[in-house]
Amino acid sequence: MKERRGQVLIIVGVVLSLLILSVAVTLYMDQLQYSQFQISTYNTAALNIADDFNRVLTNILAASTVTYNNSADIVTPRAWANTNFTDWVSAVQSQYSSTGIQSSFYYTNVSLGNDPYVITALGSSECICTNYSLIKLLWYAPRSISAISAGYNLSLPGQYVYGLRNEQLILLNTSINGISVYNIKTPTKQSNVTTIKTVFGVTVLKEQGIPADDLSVRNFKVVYFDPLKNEWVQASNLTLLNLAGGNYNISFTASWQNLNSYMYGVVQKDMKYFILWVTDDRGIMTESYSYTSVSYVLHQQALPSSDPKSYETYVLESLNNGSVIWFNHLLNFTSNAAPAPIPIPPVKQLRVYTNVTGPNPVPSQVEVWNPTYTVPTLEFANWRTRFILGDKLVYEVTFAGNKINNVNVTITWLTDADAQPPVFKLTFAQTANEWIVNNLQYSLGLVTNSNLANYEPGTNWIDYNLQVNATYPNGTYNPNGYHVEYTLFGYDAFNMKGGGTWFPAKLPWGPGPNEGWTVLPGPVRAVAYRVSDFSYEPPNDTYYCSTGEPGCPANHQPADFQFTQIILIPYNVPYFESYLTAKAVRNVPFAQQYVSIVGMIAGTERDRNLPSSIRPSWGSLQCISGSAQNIYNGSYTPTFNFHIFRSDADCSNAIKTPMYIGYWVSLYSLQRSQSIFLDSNTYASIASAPLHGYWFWTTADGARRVAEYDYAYWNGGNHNYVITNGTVITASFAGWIYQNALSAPSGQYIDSSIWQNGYLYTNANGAMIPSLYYKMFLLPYYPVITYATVS
Amino acid sequence: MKKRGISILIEAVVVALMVIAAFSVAYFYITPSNPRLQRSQPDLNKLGFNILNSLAQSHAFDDTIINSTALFNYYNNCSHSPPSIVITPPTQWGNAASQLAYTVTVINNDFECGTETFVLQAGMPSSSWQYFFSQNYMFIRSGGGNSSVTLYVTSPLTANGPNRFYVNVTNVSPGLPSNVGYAIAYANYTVQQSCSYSEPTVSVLPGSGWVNSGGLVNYTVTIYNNDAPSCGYSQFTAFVTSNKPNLVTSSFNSTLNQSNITVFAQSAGGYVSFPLYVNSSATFSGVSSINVTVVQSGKSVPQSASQPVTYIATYAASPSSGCNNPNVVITPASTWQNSGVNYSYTVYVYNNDNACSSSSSEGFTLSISSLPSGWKYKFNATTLSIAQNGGIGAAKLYITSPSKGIALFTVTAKVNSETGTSNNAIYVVSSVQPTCNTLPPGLAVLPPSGWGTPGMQLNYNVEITNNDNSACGASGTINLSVSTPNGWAAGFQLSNLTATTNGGLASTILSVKSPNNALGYAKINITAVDTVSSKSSTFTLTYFVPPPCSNVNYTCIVHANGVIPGWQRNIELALLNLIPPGYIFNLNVSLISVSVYTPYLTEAIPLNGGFVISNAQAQSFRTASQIGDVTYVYTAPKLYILVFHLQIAQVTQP
Repeated sequence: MKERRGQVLIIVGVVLSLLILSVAVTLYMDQLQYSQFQISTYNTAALNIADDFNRVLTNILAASTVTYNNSADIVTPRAWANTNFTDWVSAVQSQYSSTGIQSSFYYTNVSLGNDPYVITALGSSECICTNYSLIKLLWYAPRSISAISAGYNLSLPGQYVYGLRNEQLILLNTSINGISVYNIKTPTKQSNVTTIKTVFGVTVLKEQGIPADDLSVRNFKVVYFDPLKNEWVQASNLTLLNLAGGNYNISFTASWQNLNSYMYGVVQKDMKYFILWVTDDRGIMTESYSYTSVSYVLHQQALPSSDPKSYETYVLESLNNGSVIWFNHLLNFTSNAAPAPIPIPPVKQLRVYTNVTGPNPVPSQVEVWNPTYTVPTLEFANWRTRFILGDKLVYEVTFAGNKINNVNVTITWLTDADAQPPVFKLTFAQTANEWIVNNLQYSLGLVTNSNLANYEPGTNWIDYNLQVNATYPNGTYNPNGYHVEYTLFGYDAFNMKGGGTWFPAKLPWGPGPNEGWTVLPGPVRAVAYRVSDFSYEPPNDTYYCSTGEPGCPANHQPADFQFTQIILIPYNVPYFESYLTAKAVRNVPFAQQYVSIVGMIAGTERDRNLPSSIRPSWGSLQCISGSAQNIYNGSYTPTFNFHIFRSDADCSNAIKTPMYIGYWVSLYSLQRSQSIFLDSNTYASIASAPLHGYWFWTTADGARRVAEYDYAYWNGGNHNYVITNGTVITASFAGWIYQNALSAPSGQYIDSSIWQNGYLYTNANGAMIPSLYYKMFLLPYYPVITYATVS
Repeated sequence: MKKRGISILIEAVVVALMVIAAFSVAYFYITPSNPRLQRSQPDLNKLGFNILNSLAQSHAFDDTIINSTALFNYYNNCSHSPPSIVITPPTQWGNAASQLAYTVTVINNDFECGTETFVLQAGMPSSSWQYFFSQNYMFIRSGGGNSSVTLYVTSPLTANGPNRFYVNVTNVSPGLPSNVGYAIAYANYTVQQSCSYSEPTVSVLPGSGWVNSGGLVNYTVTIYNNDAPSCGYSQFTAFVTSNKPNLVTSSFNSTLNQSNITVFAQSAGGYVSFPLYVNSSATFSGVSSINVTVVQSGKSVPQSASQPVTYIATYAASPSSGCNNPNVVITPASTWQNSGVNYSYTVYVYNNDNACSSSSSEGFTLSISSLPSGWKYKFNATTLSIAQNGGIGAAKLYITSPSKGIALFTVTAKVNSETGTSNNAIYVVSSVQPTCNTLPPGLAVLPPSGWGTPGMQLNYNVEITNNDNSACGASGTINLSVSTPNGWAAGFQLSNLTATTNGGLASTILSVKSPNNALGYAKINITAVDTVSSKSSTFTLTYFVPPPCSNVNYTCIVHANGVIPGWQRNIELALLNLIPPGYIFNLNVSLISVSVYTPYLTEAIPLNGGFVISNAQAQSFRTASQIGDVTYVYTAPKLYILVFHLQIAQVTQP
């Protein structure tokens, strides 16, 4: 009986245990299943956000690089990238808000490494980072990077998990290395084709150093500089060797016909200069250059080496083939130097440094001229463009400083796509009659109102000039201050009805209310130019132009000259540049013999009332006769008209022919002074004209004081003077404006109204400054480039 | 013993039943309720995520669902249409090498795309033309936003006649195909020959009128326009005064109360004539000088400065004795001829003497002055015998021009000590004889597109230019007509516009009303016909009625061709291949819209469009208590964002 009861109890106990165990297991499994479900939801959401986060960053970066490559403007792609990222954040947060996931997204600052090329361009103290800017493009160097970086935090309150952090950096990193140039086919008599092969290595990496090892030749584009075409041309025969690990060897060839030995050396050197675009399979693009800068040493020859050269600043122009221009002439490279091409980054990337001016770049801008660099275009200062044929990189190189005769100039292109275009340093004003440019050292006005073409007495204006005006501190014209006009080309003379003669009778002209002038501002250099075959004779209201030519009135006379005029006004230098070419298109008849190349007029008739301290009263000139170069100074009579023709062979007497001139002439007062510096060609052009000379004179009313270069001096009795068809007259000069010219010491000019007894007084700044600086504009004294290198 | 055995048996049975019951309960709790469902929900979620993720990694969604050429996504559902662009004025006339300014207006016809960037480019007739924009890019909001810049065009010196150029505008929003946001507009720059203005000439006939006191004399005033042929018509205003205004009344109308009159005359010697009436009081007796002054107006350049021309007529109400200077009139006062033409003028001499001499007639001697060298002249009679008291003598004056030049001359008649000199007459040698050249009128509509709602009336400014030259007349009429789609209504405020030749501009208002059921855009065609030449131009403007997409929906997107037709079937086939047999699925796809005006305001727009992407009946999921439900966000390369909702369940045993 005991045994039976025990069995039943055991059985009952087992059953109860099983029941309890079953319930426990069931409850456990239920809880486990619920937990797994929650975890799965969070997991899939987190995984999905992580995946799509990478996708959206990649896609934003890809589109931004393509857009920037096409536009040369980072502003729009960057704004677009930020908008898209913000919108994506909104979309994701709205989708996962019901799951209880809390998220926050942010931009990050991620280091992109310490590549020496990038450091050089950015400055060693700067972090090469994405800098919380979402996208960052560091291009135009052997190592180029396109990157995007951002991060997010996820919190899973249901799982008591907070701060799940993920920061992503998506990038494409392209590095050029190991450039070799081979002559694969030496020119022989049998073959006149020279082929040169360039081989280089490139490493393409993605984020975290992941190799982009699945690229094919279609992912690469190479352009190289062809010095014979002066253009960057695309290599059409790329070959690609995949070395694995993101390393590739790329080669391309270029061929030229009939290459001489000198040009062979040039093209072989230049084949090292190429540009590489890489677009990976994600659509992300980089633009890499095989070099980062072009440097050269500029050696000045114009001033004595020991001189402080306070004003010796050259406004140079570099072209895409590496040539350097000063005053419309190519500078010479010595045998140790050769020009290197400047690549084609967006022009806002270009910077110029010199060892004189230190770490800050010198004032520079890029100007868009026509492909032959002869005439500016209306896109003159457009910065949303690349540096291509027809563009000029304009910058200033100064030798100011004791005993500086060589300046190291470095032209580089910033790698950071966020580089800004140059700021406007010149200031401009447009009045009813003038376009005024203030360059910090002077204020220059170009008269552009054809309505002012009036020869009648009483007018204050002459319509063919540049005015150097005194200005108030705010830059506006001060009518009571200094006023001198540079007269440009003019010819023939006109007898006025009331007596007297009007000079000149005929002026270069153009159609339209601005007399055909086009004026364009720039950050550090402005331009005014006119290309026309019009002349205008205000006294007779007669146009000289081609029959049937648009804009040429019916009652016209035949065109006399084809004119090209360009005036350049740089920032913060004491000069402006003026170029004129006049080509006779017929045998130009003259009523009176008179051709003025360039001159200066001390103001208008109202200047008669100006105090002597600001009214130009003195002048100086250089006279060259053989090897003799003398300086003569003189003063104008206080009120009366007079005419002085310079000069005889030893520059000591005033006679009309033959006449001897020099390279410069100046007109000055105590307050302001200005000179004309001819260039070598213009001097030769004038000096070769049989009737050339200086002319210093005062107008009949005693108001205007004039100093000018004449291609043919005025001879009112010669009605048979003719400039023959095809004659080319050039007038290239610098107008040099300076201050604080000293008058002669008291007494020395008292009786100097008779200029032909000119007084030699070289201690006056009015003569000293021009006599020191005029050589800057003469060809034999142009600076030379003694050394050039590329890095 | 038998009883105990039964008890044991019963106990065993009870225990067995209890064990069975316990296991049954446990089994009930630890196994799914549906015996056909094999996978747990977490597994199903993982399976669903893996399937969608594998499709995403293989780029299966990239160009499958959204038509990115029609629809581009900034995480919103912006729909793209070509922008509208117009250049105003449609034509301008200018001299060669002059700079003309045009206004370029662009309308952003995108919908719900926020503010976008547009870039302008211009194409000139040749590379020698130059141009620049005041700004070559624009930021314009979508939904009909507009922006304008100025385009400056400079023609080369060698340009001539009409020249057409274009401006195109491209929406450069990143990723947008260039063929989507693109439009082009054309305008004309007509290079005219330089207009050179000259003083007009005027004649008044008779040179003197002789009537009794209180009598009326009818004169005829003729004004000659001496401007160069390219100048076209000019406006002249004639003024008349009397030196005895209280006694002698002069007027250009018969009611004698109009002292000035405005008329038009064609250039190159064109003339206009009108009457002049002079009367006096009944008691007036004597001579009055009538002064006619003509002023040419509307000139804008220095050469156009107006100068008066004066002619003095003599009015003798009652003859009085005395010797008076004669009047001399040359007619015509202006002529434009080819070189070498021997042209005949008529010189009238009016004898104003009264009993000045004993004879009734007097002999007047004619002479000419101021004729330039090289010109030849001849009178058919150098002496005229003319009766006193207003007698009239006439002589022919023949003038022969050399190869070129302009002659301005006067004729003097002299008798005794009395001398009369004519007003200036002019002879212009010109090989340019005006001929009528016609061109289609310029036509532009501003704005080039409008955004309205169903039933709404929009107004557009229609500008036309008359491109005929002045030889076709001072002005011309341009007829306007408009054609609309069915149900649309349109009308002009003025359908016949008059514009001066040589590029004259005129404008009117076009009103367009959409029907009440309008949706999308309508093309409204406007035609301008030159009534002189019947040549015409057309302009197509756009009237947008955007879909009611303040909350963007599938209809809106389909309307914009924003989805790939049949995408649902393609995705369904992909899922059928990827999901193992025995599973059922149901997929819904949405496009995420982010309002461009309210950031962080998002909307999921279902894209299925009624298509069920599934391999099962809807009720099949009701029998499955374990259903995987996965949300998957996918951002395509074109940066539109999709959300996939995938339900998945296993319905058969593996």
